[in-house]
Parts: sequence; C-alpha cells; structure tokens
Amino acid sequence: MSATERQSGDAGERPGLASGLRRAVALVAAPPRVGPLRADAFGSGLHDERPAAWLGMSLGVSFTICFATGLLSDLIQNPQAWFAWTPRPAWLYRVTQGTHVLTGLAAIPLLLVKLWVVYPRLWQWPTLRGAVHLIERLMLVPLVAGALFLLVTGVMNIGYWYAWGFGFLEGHYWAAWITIGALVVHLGAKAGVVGRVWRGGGRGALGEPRDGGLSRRGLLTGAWLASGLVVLTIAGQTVPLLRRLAVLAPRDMRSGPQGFPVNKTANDARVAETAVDPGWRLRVEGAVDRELEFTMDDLRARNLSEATLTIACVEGWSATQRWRGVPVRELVAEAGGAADAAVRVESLQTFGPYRATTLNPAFATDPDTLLALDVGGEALHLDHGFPVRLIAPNNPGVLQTKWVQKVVVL
Amino acid sequence: MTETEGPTDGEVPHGRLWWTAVGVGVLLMAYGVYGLLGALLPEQRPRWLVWFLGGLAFHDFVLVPAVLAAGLLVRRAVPAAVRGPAQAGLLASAALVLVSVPVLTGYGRAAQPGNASVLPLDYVPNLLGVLALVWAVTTVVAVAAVLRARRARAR
Repeated sequence: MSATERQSGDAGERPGLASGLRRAVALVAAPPRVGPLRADAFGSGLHDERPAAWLGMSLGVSFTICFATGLLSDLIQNPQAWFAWTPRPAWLYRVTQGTHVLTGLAAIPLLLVKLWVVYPRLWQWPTLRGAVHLIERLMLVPLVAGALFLLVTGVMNIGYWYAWGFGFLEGHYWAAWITIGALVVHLGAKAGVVGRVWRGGGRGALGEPRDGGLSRRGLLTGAWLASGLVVLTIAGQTVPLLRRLAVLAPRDMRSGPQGFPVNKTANDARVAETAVDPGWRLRVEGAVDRELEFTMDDLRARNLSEATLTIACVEGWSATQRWRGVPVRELVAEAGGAADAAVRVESLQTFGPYRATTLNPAFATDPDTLLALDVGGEALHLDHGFPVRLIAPNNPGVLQTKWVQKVVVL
Repeated sequence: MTETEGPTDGEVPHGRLWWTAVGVGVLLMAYGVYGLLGALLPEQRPRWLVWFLGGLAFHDFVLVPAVLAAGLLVRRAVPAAVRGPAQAGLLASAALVLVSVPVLTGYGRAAQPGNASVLPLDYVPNLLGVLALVWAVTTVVAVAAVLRARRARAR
C-alpha cells in the first residue's frame, strides 16, 4: 500500500469504515471457499434432499409424539384447573409414557443420520443470502441444539445419570418448548421440499446405488433398522412380551425386591427407621366428621380388597402386581368425609417433591385406589413402601406414594 | 460430481406459511425461554446453556467430523462389493453403543448403592452380544452381495 493511498483512507474515515463493514459482512456471508466450504468437500451422494426429507418427516412425527406425551405426563403431575387426569383406562399412562421414552430412543439414530445427511449445509456457500436466510439459519441453532439436548438428557435420565447440575424435569421440559418452536419454524421453511418429496419428486432418485456404498434407500433402511434395534433392546422394560429382548434396558420389570424394581429406597428417603417403628399409625384427618387412627393390626383385621395394578414409571419401565389393601374411599366414608372429596396421601418422608400425592375425586373414589399392605401375597418390602403404600390405577409411578402415614380429606 | 448431486442449496423460504411458522415458532420458543428462566436457579442457567450448546458444538465439530473420517476410511479400506452392508452395520453399531453409554458407565447404579434394581443387567456382555448379532447379519448380507456380484460377472 502506498503512502498516498493510506492518506486518502485516513482522510475519508467514515466511508472507509462503512466500506470496511460492508467488506466484513461480505466476508462472513461469502468467505473464501476453503476446507469444508469447497463445493466438492462432501463427496457422498447421500447428502441429499430426499433422504433428508424422509428422515425429517420421521423426526417430525417422533418429536411431535414425544412432545405430546411429555406434556401429558407433566399435566398429570401438575394438574391445571382445566385438566383432570382419570384413573381409567388403567393402562393409559403406561402406554403414553412408554411411548414417550421409546419414541425418543427411536429418534436417536434418525436424528444422527439426518444431521449427517444435511451436514454439508452447515458449510453452505455463500454462508448468508440476506435477512430471511439468516433467520432460517439462526433458527437451526435451537432446533439442532434442542433436539440433541432432549435426547441426550432423556437417555441419561432413564439411566439415572444426573450429571447436569440442573434439575432434569425443568431443563428437559422447557427445552422441549424451545425445540418444538424451532421445529415449527423449520417445518415452515421445509414444507415445500417435504411436499415435493412426498409426491415422489425431489432431487436425485431413491435407491440409486453409488460407488458400491449404501444407496439412498439403503441409508434410510439402515437408519430405521438401527432405530428398531435400539427400541427392541429396551422396550421389554415395559412391554412384557419383549422382556427377554430387553438386554440394554436400564430396568428389568422383574428385578428387585419381591420381583419388581424400586425407584427410591427407604434409606434414600430417610424413612428406614420411622417406617418400622411399632408406634406407626395410619391417620385419617382433614375435612372429616371424626379423625381416625389405625394400627397395622387394625388394618389387617379388615376385609381387604385386591386389585391387579401397574406401577408405570416416568422413566419408561413398568411392572404389574397383585395388590391387597384398604380402598381409600372406604377410609373417607368411615371418617365421614364427602364422597366426592379430593384426598391428599402423605408419606413419612420429610422432604422431596414426591412426599405427598393429591388424588382428585375420580381417583379417590375409584374402588381400586388402595392403601396397599401386601403385594404378591406378602407384606410390602420396606423399599416398596412398608407399612402401607398408595397404589392407584393409571397413576404415574412417582405419585404412588410409599411409606404412607396420613390420609387428608380435602 | 454433477451439480444436482451435491448438497442442495435450496431456496430462501418465503410466503405466508413460512412467516406464520416463524411467528408461531418464535412465540413457542419465547415461552420456553421464559419458563426456563423461571424454573432454573441463577447458578443453574449457565450449566443448562453449556449442555444445550455444548451438545451442538460436540456434534457439529467432533462427532460428525469423526464419522466423516470413518466414512473415508471405510471407502478406502472396504471393497466396494461389501461396502453397503459394512456401512449399515457400522451405523447400527454406533447407534447401539451411543444409546448404551449411560448403562455402560454405570453412574446410575453407583449413585444408588442400596438399590440393585437400578441398571440390574450385565450391559457389557449384553451389548457385545447384540453387536455380534448385528455383524453376523451384516456378514450374511455381505457374502450374499459378493456372490450376487460374482454371478453377475460370470454371466
């Protein structure tokens, strides 16, 4: 650069700054084509619109199912004025939550293959083609980050690996809203492509073999097979027919004291001593005519009811057992509480969000909603909630309160 | 390579559907961010962000480049006749291994020492068994592909 040029640059500072800025923007929008920005950087013919669209559709379906079932589970645990969960059909929560976990697992290979297929677009050239293109690309950050975050935290959570330093429930739940919002934007951007591919159009021909490797159809089949394999090796923790195939499942529905899993032990809940205290009493109080108090012998002397009910955990495992105990509605009636009252069942646990459960009237009056003393013909194991636990049909596992000491009629 | 086979550049989105999607989507995201800020303690927020963006960064700058490098290796090392089955076998294996990381590490079991019903299985031999099955099937498919290619050449 000559001295005169430098001088003229100094003299026209404002236009110099503006043109420098313009040059910087241009450099960001269309940087030199080196490395992954080269036109031929990604050789495989599989980085193509059609597999991207088919995988995208599969992911759209699976993430929508995950979002809906996840929201449902949250609503059940945090009921709103406009939403009341019901005890019937008794199998429903087991199905919706099993679906939530298994659909999420199925989405993992699909998402990874999809992102591999579209990876060259991360390095597309020019990088930016105006404001709308910028919006579209920026929205991919919450979409991809959110999708990965949801699947990673979900898989870690069903493996009981809480390594994040924040609460899983809050982190996972709110990330789902962010991700689904970004997904809506993405669908708006890709509706045209998806429609074209759905109608059999789109670039490239599915199934066309290339240089001996997987064809496009082969890639899709491979992704779906991998998904199926992941699901098949885990689903048996909630689908009895598949139990023997569940070799990679975090839970075995028949493993644990009395032949089924435990989520929180009496030691972890700090009730190992209070639960076996001979002074334990079951109290019925609240909006009642007379407060009641039962010893274990009092309860055992009663005509107990039996029901076959499932513990369906939010983590996607479930176990069905034969329970025997006192129907909650009998206790409410004996104490003179209103027949259609809601009821809070409280544990001996002194801390934790799940130390009490509120049963809405539909649950409180269901004949199968029991304070169980026995499971499978024997007294409850301490880790299953001895002396008495709540067991209700279609109730999420975390709300089947263990080590019960109090029934409060509301 | 011809132009149509490369990464498609796509057109910049436009039209009423797109802008409606942007409006609805941004509202949903804003609700998510608002809810998140209310739900997380101040010291938890940066950790959440690290996991949120960290996963993206790890995926885009570590995982995919590694997969692309592995893909190049497969292309060089595996004969064309059996490359397809080998790629499918690798894809399935990678998915199974990734999904199994939490049960393999066993942090969940270690965190609840008194609870033998958490991660109760022997996951290392189980995973090896599933992988053996995957590669047995892959081998059968690959052998069939080689035989088919040989027969086609003989004809």
